[in-house]
Amino acid sequence: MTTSISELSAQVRQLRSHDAWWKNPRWARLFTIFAVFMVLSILTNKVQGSSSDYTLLFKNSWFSARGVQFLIGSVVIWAIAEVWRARGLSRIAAQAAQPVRQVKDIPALKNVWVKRASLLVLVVVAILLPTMGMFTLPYFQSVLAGQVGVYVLAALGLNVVVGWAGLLDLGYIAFFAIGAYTTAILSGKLPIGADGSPEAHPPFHLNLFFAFPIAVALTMVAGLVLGAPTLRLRGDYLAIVTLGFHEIVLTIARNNPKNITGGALGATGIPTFRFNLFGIHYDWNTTDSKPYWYLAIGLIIVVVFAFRRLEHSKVGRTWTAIREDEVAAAASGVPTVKYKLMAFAIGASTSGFAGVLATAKITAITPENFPLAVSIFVLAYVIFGGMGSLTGVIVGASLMTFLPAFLQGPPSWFNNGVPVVDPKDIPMWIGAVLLVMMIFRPQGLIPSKRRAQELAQAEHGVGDADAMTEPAEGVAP
Amino acid sequence: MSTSTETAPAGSTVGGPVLHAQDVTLRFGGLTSLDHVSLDLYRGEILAVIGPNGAGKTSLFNSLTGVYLPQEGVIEFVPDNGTAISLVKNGAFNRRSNRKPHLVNRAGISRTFQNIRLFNALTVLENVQIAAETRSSSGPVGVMLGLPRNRRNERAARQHSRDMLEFVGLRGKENAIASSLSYGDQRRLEIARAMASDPKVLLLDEPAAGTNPSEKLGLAELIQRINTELGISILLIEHDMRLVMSVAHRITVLNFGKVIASGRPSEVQQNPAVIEAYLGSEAAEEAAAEAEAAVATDAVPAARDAEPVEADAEPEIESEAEVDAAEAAAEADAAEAAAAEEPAAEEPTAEEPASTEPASEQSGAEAQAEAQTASATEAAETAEAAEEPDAEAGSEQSPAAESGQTAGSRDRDTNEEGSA
Repeated sequence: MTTSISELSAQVRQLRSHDAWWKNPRWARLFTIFAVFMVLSILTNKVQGSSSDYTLLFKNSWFSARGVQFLIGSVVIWAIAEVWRARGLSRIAAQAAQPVRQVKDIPALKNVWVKRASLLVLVVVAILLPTMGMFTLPYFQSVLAGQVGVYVLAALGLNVVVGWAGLLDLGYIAFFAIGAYTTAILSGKLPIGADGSPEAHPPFHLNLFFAFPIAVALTMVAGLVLGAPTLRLRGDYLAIVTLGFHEIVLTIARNNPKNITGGALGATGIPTFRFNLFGIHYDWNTTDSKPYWYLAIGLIIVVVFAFRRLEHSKVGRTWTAIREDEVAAAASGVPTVKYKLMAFAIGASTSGFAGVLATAKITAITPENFPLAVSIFVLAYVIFGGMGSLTGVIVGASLMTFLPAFLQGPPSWFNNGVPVVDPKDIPMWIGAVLLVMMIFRPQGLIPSKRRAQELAQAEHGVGDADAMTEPAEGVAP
Repeated sequence: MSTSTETAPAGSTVGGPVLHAQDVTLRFGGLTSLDHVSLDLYRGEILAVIGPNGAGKTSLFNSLTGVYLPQEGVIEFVPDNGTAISLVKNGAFNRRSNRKPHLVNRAGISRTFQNIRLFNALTVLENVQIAAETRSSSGPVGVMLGLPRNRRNERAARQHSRDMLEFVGLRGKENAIASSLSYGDQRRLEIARAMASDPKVLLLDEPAAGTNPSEKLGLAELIQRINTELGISILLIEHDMRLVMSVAHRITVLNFGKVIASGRPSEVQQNPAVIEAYLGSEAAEEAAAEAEAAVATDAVPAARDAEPVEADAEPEIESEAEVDAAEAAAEADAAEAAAAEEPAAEEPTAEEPASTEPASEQSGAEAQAEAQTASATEAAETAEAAEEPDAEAGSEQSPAAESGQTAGSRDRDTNEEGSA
């Protein structure tokens, strides 16, 4: 029988070689690239369709000089790719990666002190960032403080839930909203008086710094309230429940019960952080974003230090165990529900923490500041950067929040004040980046070792990449 | 290792039961997985639970460890201080409850799994450390603040894990990824993880499945060392009869969720009910005849050959009622086999129609057949006289046949052991 197999394969090979020339896969690749380029030609065309000539956009994109340019472009790209392929994709990639690997292998880099020093350098660069290049523009400073800082903080918290404990949370920004509304209430801007009368007497007038611990405690409780009844669910089911939780929180905010949330108008004029102690007085000024950025850096450093310890401790290991095999973890004596609740509470409180910071920066909140899309974006930041890896999440969240702002561009920043990309198209480009990313590097930019290992094993059919499936041993009848 | 100092009364049953299950019944809808199973594991002994595939062995383990809640019966764990801990009990208002798996582990019962369940992406050491650390008091806040107490706890847990790894013979592989280990080493790692939480009772679910003969020998030695050196009582599920016979002090045999025999290995080997459960009485007869005729024949081919023979054998059954009963039982068996978890269970059951006779009554091997046996009793009684001596004769062959999956060479070995 063994001979017949080799004979068969030889026959198959012969049959293949006698196939029509156009069945060669390289032509399929050419067609794919050509199709992508034709779509791109439409997407990037400034010409708008008109009601008098429906085919205007297509004519202008395809049957014109523009179309020819794109055709040539696609063929060139395809030719390069084919040559690349013929010379051995992996070999070239390995050669290109060689210097990187050499740098990685330098023993001095593995020294703890070198690592710490480089970390310090990074922090210093981050602190000096607002004085460098385009970041001197107030627009980018505002992006740094209001977007990058806030969402890095939020993504770090979500990383605990999704990356470490393996619980898919799609309603994460609900906790962010709870933190934001807590801030508004504590600062005395909510609740507005009955029927919106100006003589309202809000119960609190606190310095915003006090909002941090209170918001953390409140969101932690909210996380426990959501988690306790739902954590028996796994994977997709938990995701749906958290989705529902997000909607509940938003609807409460919109419906304005007892005037607590201010309804669709939300709260405005929320004061900023103030520091008035030991004779030192400092006011975070809304016109200057730099102090917020420094504050955000400080908070991120604190959170990163705490989480780093968590990751390499009993708690982090236990989360990994639950993520990999909940049944085996329970059989080893791990109180799984307790640890899942812990992850939920820690993640939720970090989100609330970020919510306070964001509210103090934007000084006005409405329910529309916390749409479901933001929850999903933060999840995308975590996955993009590399689930379970603190460095990855920081890098991922920074890039993904900064890039859209950069592409939209500030007025007259460059390109004669015309945004590089139509602001309306930004989500589309982000989506495209995520697609490409997930196909070619599913483990994220800078994956954690454990996660990369799990993904590699899942591809070989050993275990799951996530605690998304039912336990094989079944559940109690 | 605090447990290593304790003395272990190896093989003795003087210590009283450490794990006590009484009338445990577990049903999945219409399928009765465990049917009034009672079982006592004595302090310091190795008790093997054997039975054909689908007999309910793993269900029993899952009931003992809190994964399943049996509908009837109680399970108790009696630690060294003598106060019993209820694992499954009838609470107030007839509300049944069980201890959750992690609390069962905390009480002092650890288990391994039939299909290895390791934390595959973690290192060998981390796998064990996770179990060891469930006993440390470190909390998340203390960890984030970096309290020195946590570091001490962590160091202690790591040392304990290293000790356990050395005990099972995985020294030097601490930093390997768990999934990269060989199958036998993965089994050992699972045992090390189970022992890291300092159990009093260790439940091993087919520890030798998928390992090669030399690994099996090592495992047998390891199981005995756990029992004698650490004084841990062991409940062992295993299909490999050589391993079972060499390490177990007592054996309990399950078939169709019922305990059909229990006792010392030599007693169980000669129990006719056990022979029937594994081979069916016809097959046992055949095998016995073969054994008498030729000296060194394979029991397994004999058992397989018996299947076609069975059809020929049926006309030999005198009474009409018996034939009907046998047919009805065959139908019931087919339904049962379809519902059973593993298709392999079909082999013994397919041979069962012929065993509607007395042995099935006294052993209760076939719950479904009971209705029919009532009508068949008269005929069966006449058959009894003829049946009994044959079964006795076939006893030497039977446990070796191992539900028709072993090679003939091993059968001969087991026979020698059994007779020794």
